[in-house]
Amino acid sequence: MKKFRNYYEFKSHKNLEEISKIFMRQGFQIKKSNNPSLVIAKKGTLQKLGYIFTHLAIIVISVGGLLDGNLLFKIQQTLGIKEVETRNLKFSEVPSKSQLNENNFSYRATLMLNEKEKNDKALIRAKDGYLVQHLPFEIKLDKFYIEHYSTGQPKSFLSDIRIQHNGEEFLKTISVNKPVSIDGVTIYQSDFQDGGSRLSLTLMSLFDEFKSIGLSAEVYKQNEFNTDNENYVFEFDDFREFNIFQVKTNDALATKNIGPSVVYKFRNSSGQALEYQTYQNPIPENDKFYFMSGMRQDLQSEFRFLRIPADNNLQIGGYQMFVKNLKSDVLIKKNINQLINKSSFLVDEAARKSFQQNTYDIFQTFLRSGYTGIASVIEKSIPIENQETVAESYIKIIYFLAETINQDLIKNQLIDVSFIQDALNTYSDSFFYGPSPFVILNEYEKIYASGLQLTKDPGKIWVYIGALFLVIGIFCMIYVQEVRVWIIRKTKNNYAIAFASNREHIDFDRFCENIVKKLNIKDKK
Amino acid sequence: MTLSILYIASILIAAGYSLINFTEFMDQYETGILVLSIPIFIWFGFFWPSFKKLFLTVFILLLSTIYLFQGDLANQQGNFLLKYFLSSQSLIMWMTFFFPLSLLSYIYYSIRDSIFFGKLGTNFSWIAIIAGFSGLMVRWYESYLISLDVGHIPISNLYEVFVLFCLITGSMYLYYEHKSETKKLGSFVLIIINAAVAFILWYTFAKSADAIQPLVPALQSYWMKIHVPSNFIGYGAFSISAMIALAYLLRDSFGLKKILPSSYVMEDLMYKSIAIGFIFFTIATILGAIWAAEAWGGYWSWDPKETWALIVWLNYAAWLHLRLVKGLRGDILAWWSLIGLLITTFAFIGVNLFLSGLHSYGEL
Ligand code: HEM
Repeated sequence: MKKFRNYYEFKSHKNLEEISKIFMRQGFQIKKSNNPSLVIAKKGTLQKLGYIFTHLAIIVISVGGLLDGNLLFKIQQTLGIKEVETRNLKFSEVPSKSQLNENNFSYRATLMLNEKEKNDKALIRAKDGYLVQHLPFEIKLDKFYIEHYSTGQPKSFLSDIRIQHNGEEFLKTISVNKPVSIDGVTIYQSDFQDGGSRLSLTLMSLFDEFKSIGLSAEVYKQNEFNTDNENYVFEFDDFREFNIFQVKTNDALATKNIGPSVVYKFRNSSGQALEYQTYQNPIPENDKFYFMSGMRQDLQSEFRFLRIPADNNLQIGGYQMFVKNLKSDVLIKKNINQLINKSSFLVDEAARKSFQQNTYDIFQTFLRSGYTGIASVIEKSIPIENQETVAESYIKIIYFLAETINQDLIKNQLIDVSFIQDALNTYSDSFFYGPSPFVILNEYEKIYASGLQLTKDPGKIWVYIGALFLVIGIFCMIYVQEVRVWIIRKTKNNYAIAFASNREHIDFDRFCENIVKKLNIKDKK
Repeated sequence: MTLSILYIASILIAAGYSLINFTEFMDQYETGILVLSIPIFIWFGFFWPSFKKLFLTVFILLLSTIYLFQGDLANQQGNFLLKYFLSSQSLIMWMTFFFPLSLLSYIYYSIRDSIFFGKLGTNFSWIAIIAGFSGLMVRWYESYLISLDVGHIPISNLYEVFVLFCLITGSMYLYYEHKSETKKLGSFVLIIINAAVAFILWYTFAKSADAIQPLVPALQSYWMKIHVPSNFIGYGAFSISAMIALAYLLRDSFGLKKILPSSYVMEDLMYKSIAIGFIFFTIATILGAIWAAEAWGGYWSWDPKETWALIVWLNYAAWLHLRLVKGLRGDILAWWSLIGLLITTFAFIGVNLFLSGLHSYGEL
């Protein structure tokens, strides 16, 4: 006994009976033994319960989990009764081997419904394919909508649904974190996408190659459009009504909804496609506004954005007219002549003629290929030491001409003088942009599709019960101490006492010390 | 005695005031959580008496801040006190100021055995914790000032949960320090807290992550109020045990033997913190599953966070079994708990950073 960590010897006038009482008051149970000078006391049997609870918990959780797993289907699949469908078929064409009836015990299926659309079947995604799950009711989507915070970020995704079940109709609204249960099946808001929105567009050529034309388009459809010599196709995969941006205003970053954007693939007759994204509202930047439209060659790369200055009405028309003027031969020539008339240093006719020709060429080069074109001309034809000064004067000339050509726009206050430089940069930049016209969205009818998830999980309640057992079990195991005490009366007043526990740590030592102290204190009385 | 009365009174006043005035902003579950937290807080104040003082100090600081704000966030700019001391961002910055000071004091205390610096270490930690908790409470209030629908409990992104981590780990350590007189472990436990502090500072200054953002729809649930704190009690406890394990493993080097508590005490503390952490982590994972069932339509989807939570759970389950069932003690368990911290850290941040999934709310 002496090898116990908590072993004490003490003297007492009490007899074993009285000492046992002290232990009983501490919550111990006394075990009778045959030896009259030995008392065994025990406490903390709940700890045993801890083991039972934890292990029971693991069994219950496993059973619950199995109930909700797809074991049944796996068996049916192995027996060849059911199989996964891999082809892309309509629900009605899927063979019965890949359909599961509404009595199916447990499932997690998804259903994408357009607004006003209804269905009584859902899809179960399986490895490499899918299964069709019959539902005990029919769901119709009345409406999908998004609520926003004042900052513009989405606050809530909601679907108004209509459920037909055994001849009764239920109107319900579901949203993320607020599902609805009917007949053992819980319906969740899990996803959404465009459901084929209708868009009314104006297509505007960035290079004034054709007059703006109107186009009615639909998301997911092939929307064709012809110019004189090409046939193009717009494909919209999505239409976003809202875009949340971090906008810099007065030095502070603010989150703002900047309105709709269109994303589309633009295909020419040879089938080659480029992808575009165009924000419909001008985006503020240092107290000016710009239209942003991006292009990318493939889905892996980032969009490269063209930044078009907005006119004073916050429209893109200003830029369109600017380009139209820029490309007008009549205006170019007229303004070059005016420039020559003002330039006193051009004394003779020959100098005038050559200046006129040079200026005209420079400007045409710019119109054809922007500043990069000018740079390569200079590199080719001007000696290195003069390149910089020449470049400067060319840029001045281009700017000067652009400004005078667009005098009217400035006079009519459609644009400011500061617009010219921005617009020239945009023009020069726009050569990467490719063939797509700039797309202006006039009107739209947003149609949503709502992604629902339908879950039947009869095992869930068992998993929860098991989880509760688990917590109780672990708690008992860690915090309930099983303590055994042996008290031996060695001689009349001399006792020995030993404590044992399956959790021997500092608290246990203190616990024993305290009890022994009590025995001694009582003794002194 | 007066302290206890004040403590209980202020809990009742705060809870009662919210119950009377804010019911329209709470669903029945949130009301339930609030009502249940009254007895839990009262009990906790008696379980750990220092908590009463912490609570009252934070309560007073919060009330003064609310008074100074006068219901308008813009008042922060003009008011000296708010701008430099009582706005949530300043309070949290003060936290990040005092935790390092506390670490330095503890180290000096350990090396020189200077009782004064030992006290200083403890007190600096207390100041940091008061500042941090007040910071979170004020942040909660500020979020409602931004807009009523933006308002939410500040444990919803990586920045906020890191602050929570520092606070929980710090408080747990102070509890043990007081109870087991283990001041000498301060210089170890404060290391991990300061690692988190460094992250918060980097995250704030390099990424401006300290701005209050509205909640994405998936997170708008009363479950967040219990799921996340439970998780972080788990994380905090596991970190403390790992830091004690570090001290334990180094006990024979650098002449630390004289400084550190006995191995028996360290083993015991390691065990205790893993045990409490394990219970809370279990509860948190279960709550997570229940929440997942409600938000995503399935209680277990083998999402990376779920999978890693399970790994962490199994890891500490194994640890506890080895100690309790096999009676193992000593270096192996200490190493295990140290390595356990790596696993836990990965579950905590690694998953958010490197694995995609439904849990990637925090981004770098
Ligand atoms: C079985 C299900 C779940 C498990 C096992 C689980 C596990 C965890 C774990 C281990 C953490 C640790 C804290 C962290 O690393 O940040 C955590 C945090 C968190 N969980 Fe869960 N969770 C579950 C479900 C959910 C659900 C359904 C949601 C909300 C839709 C959720 C929201 C959060 C949030 C907001 C945090 C803290 C913030 C953060 O990590 O940035 N959890 N969860």
